[in-house]
This record gives sequence, C-alpha cells and structure tokens, in this order.
Amino acid sequence: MLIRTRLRDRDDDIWRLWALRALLVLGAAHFLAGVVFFFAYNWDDLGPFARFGLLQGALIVALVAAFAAGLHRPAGQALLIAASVITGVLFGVIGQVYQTGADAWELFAAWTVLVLPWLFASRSSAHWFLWCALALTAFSAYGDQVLIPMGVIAAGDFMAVAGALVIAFLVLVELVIRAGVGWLDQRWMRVSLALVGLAILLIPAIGFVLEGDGDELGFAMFLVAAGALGYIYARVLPEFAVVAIATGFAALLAMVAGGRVIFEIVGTDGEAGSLVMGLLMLLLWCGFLTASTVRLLNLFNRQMAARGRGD
Amino acid sequence: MPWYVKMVVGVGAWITAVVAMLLGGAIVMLLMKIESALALAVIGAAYLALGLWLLRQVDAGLFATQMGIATAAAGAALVSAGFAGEAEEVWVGLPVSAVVAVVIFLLTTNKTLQFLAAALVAAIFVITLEVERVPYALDIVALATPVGLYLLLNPPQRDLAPAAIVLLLTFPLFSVFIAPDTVFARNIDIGGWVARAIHIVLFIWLVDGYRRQRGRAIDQRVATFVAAAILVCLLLPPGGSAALLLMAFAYVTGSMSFATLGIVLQAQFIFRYYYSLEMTLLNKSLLLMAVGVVLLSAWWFVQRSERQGSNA
Repeated sequence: MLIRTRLRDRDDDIWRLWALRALLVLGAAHFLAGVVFFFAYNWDDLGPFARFGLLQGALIVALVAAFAAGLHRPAGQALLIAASVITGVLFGVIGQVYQTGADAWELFAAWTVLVLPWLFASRSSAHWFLWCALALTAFSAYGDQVLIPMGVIAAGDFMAVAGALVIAFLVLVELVIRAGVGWLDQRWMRVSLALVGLAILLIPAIGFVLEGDGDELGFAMFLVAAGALGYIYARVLPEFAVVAIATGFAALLAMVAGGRVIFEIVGTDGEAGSLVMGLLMLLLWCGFLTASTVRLLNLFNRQMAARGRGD
Repeated sequence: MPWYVKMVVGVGAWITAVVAMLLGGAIVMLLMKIESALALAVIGAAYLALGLWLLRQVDAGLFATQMGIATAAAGAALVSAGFAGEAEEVWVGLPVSAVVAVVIFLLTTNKTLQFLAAALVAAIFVITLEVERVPYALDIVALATPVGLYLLLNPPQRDLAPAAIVLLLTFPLFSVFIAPDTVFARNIDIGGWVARAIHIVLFIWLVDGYRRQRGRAIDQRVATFVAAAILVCLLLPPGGSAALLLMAFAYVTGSMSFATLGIVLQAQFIFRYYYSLEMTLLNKSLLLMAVGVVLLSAWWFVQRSERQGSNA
C-alpha cells in the first residue's frame, strides 16, 4: 500500500541534519538515562565517597567539555547549564549523606549563588531564565519555611513580593539589553517573564477581590504591574504579546470582580431564582468583557503596527 | 491575529461558555426541577446547535468563532455525559459522542471544533476501556495509529485531518500518560506486542513510501534506519516506539510540530519509565542503554555513509 499524497516539498538539507541530530541526541539520551537508572538501582550500595566522586566527576567532565566546546557556543552553553544542574544535585546528596538539618531554602540559596560563575561564563539567555526560576524557588522556600511561619509577612503579601521580583528581573533584563548586552535580547524570555510575573501577582489579586481584605498589596501590585507593562510594551518597547497577556489577565480579574459584585447584589441564599439571575448577569458580563478585550487588542495591534510603520 | 491573542480570547470565550452551561443547568435542574440526566443532554444539544450556528455565520468575528467553538464543544460533552449518566454506563457515551462528532464534521469546517469532537470520542473510548477493565487495551488502542497515519498520508476528499491527528496521537498519549498509572497495570494483561508489531509495520511502510517517492540512492541509509527502528520497537515498551514513530512521520512529511511533539513525548516516556513497575530498574537500565547503542550506531553508520558518498 503506497502513500498516495505527494510528500511535502521541504528543505532536504535541514531535515537530513535534523534526522542526524535526532539520532545522536536520542541515542545519547537513552544511553545516559540507562546509566542514571543503573546508578539509581545501585545507589543504596554506593558509599558516600563513590556518590560524591560520581557527581564531582560529572561536574568536572561537564566543565572541561564546555571549555573544549567553546563557552559561548550552543554545545558549551548546554554543558554549563548541565554543570549548574549537577551542582544542585551535589548539594542534595550532601544533605542526604550528612543529614545537615539545613532547610530546603538554604540548599536552593547556596545553589543559586554557587552557579553564578557558570552563569556569567555561558552568556546564555536560557541559562539566565533557569537561574531566575532557581532564585524564585529559593526565595519561595525561604518565605514558606521562615518568613510566613514566623509571622514576618502574610502569605498573600509574600506572593505579591515574589511576583514583583519576577517583574523586577524583567526590568533589569531590559536595562541590561539597553546597555548593550545583545545576547539577552530574546522575545521568548521577555514574554515568559511577563507571563510568570503577572500570573503570580494575579493569585493574591483574585484573593483580594473574592475575600475583600488581606491581599491589598497583591491587588495593588497587580494593577500597577499590568498597567506599567501594558503601557511600556505598547508605547516604549513594542511587544504585542506582553500587551495581550496584561490585557487578558486584567480582563480575567475584572470577570472575577464582576462575579463578586453580581452575587453580592442578587444574594447567595441558595434560592434558584437568585442563582439563575446571578448567572445570567455574569454571563452577560463575561461576554461583554471578552468582546471588549477583542476590540481593545485589535485597537492596540493597529496602533502599534501604525507606530511601527512610522505613520 | 497572533495565536496568543486567540488564546486570550479563547480563555474568555470558554469562561463565558462555562457560565452559560451553569446557567442552563440551573434553569433546568433548579428552576424547572427536572432531575433526569437526559436534561443535561437536552441542554447540551441546545448549546451544540447554538455553537454550530455561530460558527456557520459568514461574518463571524474572533469572539463569535471562539464562543462558537467553546459552546459547541461543551454541548457535545454534555450530550454524551447526559446519555451516559441516564444509562449509568460510560460506554453509552461512546456511540453518542461518535454520532455528535459526525454531525460536527458534516456541519462545520472549523478544525479546532472537529479536533475537540474527535478527541472527545477518543477520551470516552479510553475511559470505557479503563472502567470496563478490558484486557489488551494497549493493543486495542494501537489499532487507531495506522488509521490516523493512513488518513494523513492518503487524505480523502472530505478533510478529516483533525480526526486523523487525534487517531495518530491517541496511542502515544494513552501509553505514555495513562496506561502505566491505571488499573491496567494491576492483575490484568494490558498487551503490547501487537502494538509493537503495528509500529514495526508502520515504520517500514513510512520509510518505503518515502524511498519510492524520492527515488534516490538512499537504500543503505533507509535499511539502517529500518533495522534500528525494528530493534528499538522490540526493545522498548510500545509507548517509546510510538513517540519515535511520530518523529519518523515528522521527518517524512516535513512537519516540525510533530517532530517537537515526538521529542517531548519521548523525553516524557524516559522520565515516566523510571517509575514503571513492569520490570526492575536494572533491567530497564540495560534496555535503555541497548536502545542508546542502537540509535548511536545508526547515527554513526548514516554519518559515515554520507561522508563516503560526498568523498566519492
């Protein structure tokens, strides 16, 4: 039975290269996974010396290979990222072997600081993004294990600060790019940081809208961050994806706020009539908001395109 | 409009559609006090009709289109759930969802809705297999793969691509994400050898079709690839070879989306394979290393034959 359809005209050179790389990467990945499984099977039988030797050997191999491959080339950057990951695993094993009693946040904090040399050496935006995730994890663990239990800060406020830190990192990245560090200028990084930062801020903001008290800081920070990002990426540094994310999250918050107001008005006493009336009003509100978001985004898109053309 | 704007609007439209569903449910069940599950099916049918009507409007804008997709898809799910709930049997939802999917394919050309309708049928099929504890489920689900592949490579006059994609993806998603964690893994033979055989045949079919169309002197490399693919299919559980099959399909058709999906699924497979209880960690490690050696040997052989070809 033959393939009747004409196979798509494609760039044969690119796909030949893809196939070769896929075979290489998949082969290496399966083999290395097998090696990892093998050590996992024998892990309990390995002494501390063997465990540390294994990981430190892997770290040295990754660093030497990174130098050999070229620190600023993709292979070298990937190996430096691997070195950063192995550093964290090494910390985990130190904690496992010596039972230091350290909290998780200390492990993540040390990990965040100690990988800085590999980070600066790699000049890789992906490495910086992973470092940001690592630093955020360390900060979140510090909040969960120290600040919130000790009553220094409320959980909602802490989340607001964490979201604000991600936005601050985005601001820092933009400033560094303006200072001439071109390799950080990656669209995916900008959009991802805006998405993560606003998503974290949205949680306490929704909490404030639903509960009415306790999360004022998160609510205020969300409004400021969404407004500022929307303005900056619409007017100063045109990036429509960030504008769409800020507008979408704002619309989502407005939907929740509308739901709260509507059910405050019609009441939530369990009567079928009130519930139906409330749902009907919420349906109209959500439809109105979504339709308005479409119109708003269309308008922003046209304005940004016109500015891009210099009209 | 870029995809992320469609996504923002889609989320808004889905929330609106969910509120609409709740409103319909509240009217029928609380206001009219009808407690039959069939009432859900009636509401679902109304929403399905509304969604299809929105999609058939010539001048439907972005919001109307997204709202139409959300409403019709939720309606289709409600119709199936209504009938299944009334009969108190999950399998009853299967023929109902299949009929609804046929209606959707006949009445609209919207690819997203067609994909969702086909995915609903596949999901209910898989749930039925799990609930009814059908033996050899892996082998049964694997039968969908050749149908999907055939439809994609030999498209009929009516465009069935969304259904074909669902058929092609059902087995990899089922075997990688669902099968290892379900009751199938306990006290029941979930099969796998028929699935492996199907994958081997499909690898050969794909590569042979490619070789015939291209008509080039690539026989040595093709033979290497086929030999490696057969060995991998025999060594790995069928979930792993299914992801590799997706990559082979991506290579033959030049689809970067399928290539990316195949790589993600394979990475996910290796990760989950660690927790699989079907054999010891030692045996799994030896199998993975063997697969690695096969793939690396294929890479070395293909690269060497290319070098020799260019030198000649």
